[in-house]
Amino acid sequence: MLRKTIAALLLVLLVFTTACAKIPQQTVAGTVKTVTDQAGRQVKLPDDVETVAMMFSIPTSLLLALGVGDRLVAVGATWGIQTLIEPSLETIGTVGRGQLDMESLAAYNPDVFLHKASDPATLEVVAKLGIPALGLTTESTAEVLEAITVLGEVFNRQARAAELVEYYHSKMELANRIVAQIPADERKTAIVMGSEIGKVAGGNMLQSFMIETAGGINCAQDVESQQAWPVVGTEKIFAWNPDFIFCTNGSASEYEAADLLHDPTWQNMNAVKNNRVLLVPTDKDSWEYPSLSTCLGFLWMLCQMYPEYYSEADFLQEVDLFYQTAYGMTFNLEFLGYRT
Amino acid sequence: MIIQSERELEHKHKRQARLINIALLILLFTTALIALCIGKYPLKPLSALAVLFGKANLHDVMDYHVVLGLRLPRIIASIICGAALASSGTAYQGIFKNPLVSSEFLGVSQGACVGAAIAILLSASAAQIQLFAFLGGLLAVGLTLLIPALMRNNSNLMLVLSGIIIGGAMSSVLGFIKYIADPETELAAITYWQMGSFSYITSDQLASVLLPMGLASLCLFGLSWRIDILSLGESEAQTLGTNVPLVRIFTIICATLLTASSVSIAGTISWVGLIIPHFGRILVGTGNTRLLPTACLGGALFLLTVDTVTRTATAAEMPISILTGLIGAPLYAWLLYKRRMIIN
Repeated sequence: MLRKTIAALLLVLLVFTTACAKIPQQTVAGTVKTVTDQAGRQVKLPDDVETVAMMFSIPTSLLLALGVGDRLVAVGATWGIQTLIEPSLETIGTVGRGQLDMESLAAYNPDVFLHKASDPATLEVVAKLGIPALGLTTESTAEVLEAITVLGEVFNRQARAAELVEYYHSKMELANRIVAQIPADERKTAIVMGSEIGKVAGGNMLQSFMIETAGGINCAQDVESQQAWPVVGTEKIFAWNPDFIFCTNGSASEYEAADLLHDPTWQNMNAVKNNRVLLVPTDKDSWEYPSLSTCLGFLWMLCQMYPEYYSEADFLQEVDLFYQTAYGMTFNLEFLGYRT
Repeated sequence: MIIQSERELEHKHKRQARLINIALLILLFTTALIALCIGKYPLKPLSALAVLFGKANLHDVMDYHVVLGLRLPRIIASIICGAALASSGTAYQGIFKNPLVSSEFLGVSQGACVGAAIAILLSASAAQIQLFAFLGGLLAVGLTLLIPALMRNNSNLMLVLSGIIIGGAMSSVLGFIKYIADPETELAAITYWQMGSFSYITSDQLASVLLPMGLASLCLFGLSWRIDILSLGESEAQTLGTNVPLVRIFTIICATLLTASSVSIAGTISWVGLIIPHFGRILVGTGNTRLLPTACLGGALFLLTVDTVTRTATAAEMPISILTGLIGAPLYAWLLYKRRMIIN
C-alpha cells in the first residue's frame, strides 16, 4: 500500500516535470538581429533593444558612454558619477545581487539581460525564460573594447562604439609616443597592490597592462595565477623592491597607502623612502576598474612615474577631455576625489 | 489477552501514523498550490492555476514561463530534495543507531561536492558529474566509517568526530580543487554546482534526478523494517536471519544516492536531514517503517515552506541554508531538551 502510494506520487511528479518542459516558445517581437556575444554564443535580439537588466555592474559605465543608460531597468549596484550622468539610476530596481532573482527578472521582462560570459549556466537559464541573455567579459582592455563594440551592435550604436574605441586607442598611442622617448635605463619598476597587503596584479591582469602602457615594468609580470589578485606575500614585494607601489582604489581595501608609509618594516623600500606609494584615483570613478576610465589610469601612472616626460598639468587636461568625450559632461577634480 | 491488546495498540499506532501522513500529504499539496500562486512576478493566483491546467490564454507567454518554467520546477525540486534529505537522514540515524548523524555530519555532502568538482575538472558530462558526486559521497561515508573501525570504538561520539574529520578534510580538498581550477570556466562551474540553488532549477535537471531519487527511496522503504531489526542490535538481527552487512551497505548506498542527488541540484542544504527525523519520531514513534514516510513528507513540507519564504519574503533572495540554519539550530536544541525530558 505504502509503496503504491509512493509510486503514484512519483508518477505525479514526473507528469508535472514533463509539464514544465511544455512551455510555448516565445518569439522575439519585431525585426530580429543576431549578435555574437563574448562567450561565443549567437544571441537573437529585437532590432530595437529598449530595456536592459543585469546583475553585475561593470557594463553600466559602458552603457552610459554609449548613451543608452536610460534603458537600464535593473542593475546590481551603481556608484559615484554614474547617477550624475544618468539620474534615473538613482531609483533603479534590482534583479538580485550575487544570486539572480528569476521572478524579478521575469517581471521586468527586459529586451536583453547582460551577464558575465564566465557564467554560462546563468546565461542559459535566463535564455530558457525567453529573455535574450548576452555574455560579456571585461578582464583585459582588449575585452573591454570588444564589449563596447558588441554593445554597440546590441543598441544600434555602432558608430558611437567605434568612436569610443578609437578615442581609447588614441590615448594608448599618446602614451606609447611618450614612453618611446624614455631611455631603457630610466624605466621604473612598479606593482599594483590589491585589497590586501601582499596581493598584486599578475601579468595577465588589466592593472599590469596599465603599468606597461605607462612605460613601467610590472615586477609581478611573471606571476601567472588562475586567481585574480594572486597573493605573493610581503616578502616577495620586499625582494622586488619596486620604485612605485600603486594601491587599488577599492572601498574593500583593508589598508591605506599611509599605513605602508608609516610602517617601520617598510621604511627601507624604495617606494616608501621616496613617498611613491600612491592610491590610483579616484573615489567617484575608479581609473583601474574595467571601463574606459583606465585610459586615465595609465596616463596618470605615466605622469607620476615620468613627470619630466609628461607633466601632471598635461595629464589633467586629459581628464576633462575624457569625461566630455565619454559622457558629455565634466567633473571637477575635487569632486572626483583626485589628490594633487 | 495481553498479546491481543498489544496487537490492538500496534494497530492503533498504525492508524494514527496513517492519519498523520494523510494530514501531512494534504498540507503539502495545499502549500504547493499556494506556493505556485505567489511570487515576485505579478500574476493573479487564479491565472497561475489556469496556466498550470492549460486553461490560460496564450497571449502572455511570460506567464507560462514563470509558472511552468520557474515556479513549478522549483516547487517540485524543493519537495523532492526535502524528502530525499529527510529520508536519508532517517536511514543514517537508523542504521548507525545514532540520533546525531545526518548526511552533512557524515561528510557525505562535502564528499559529493568533491566528486562533482573532480568531474568538472575532467570536463565530464552532466550525468558523469552526478555519478562522481555519488561516488564522492560514498567514499566520504566509507572513510567516516573506517576511522571508528580502525580505533575499535563503536561509540556514537567516535562516529560524529570521524564525520567532522572527514567533512573537514573534504572541504579542504574542495578548496584545493577550486584553487587549481581555471577561474574563467571550471571555477565558475564548481562554485555554481556547489552553491546550488532552487532558483536556477530547470526541468532537465529535475528529470535527471527523479529516477535515481525514486529508486533509492523505494529501496529505502523496502528496507525499512530490516533497519528496524538492525536497531535491535547486531547479534539479535543475525539471529533473526538478517544479513547485517548487506542491509547496512545497501542502506548506506541508497541514502548516499539520495543526498548526492539532492546536492547535485540544490547544493548543500543543512539541518533538514538532522531535525526532520527527530520531529517524525515525536509524531509517529521510532519504528522506521512508520517513520520513513512521515519524515519524507515532513522534509518535503519543511523545505517547500522555507524555499517559498526565501523566494518571496525579501527583495533580494537569500540563500536557503541561512533560513534552514536559523530555524534548524534552535529547533534542534529544543528537540534535545525535550528528549532529555522524555529520557528522564
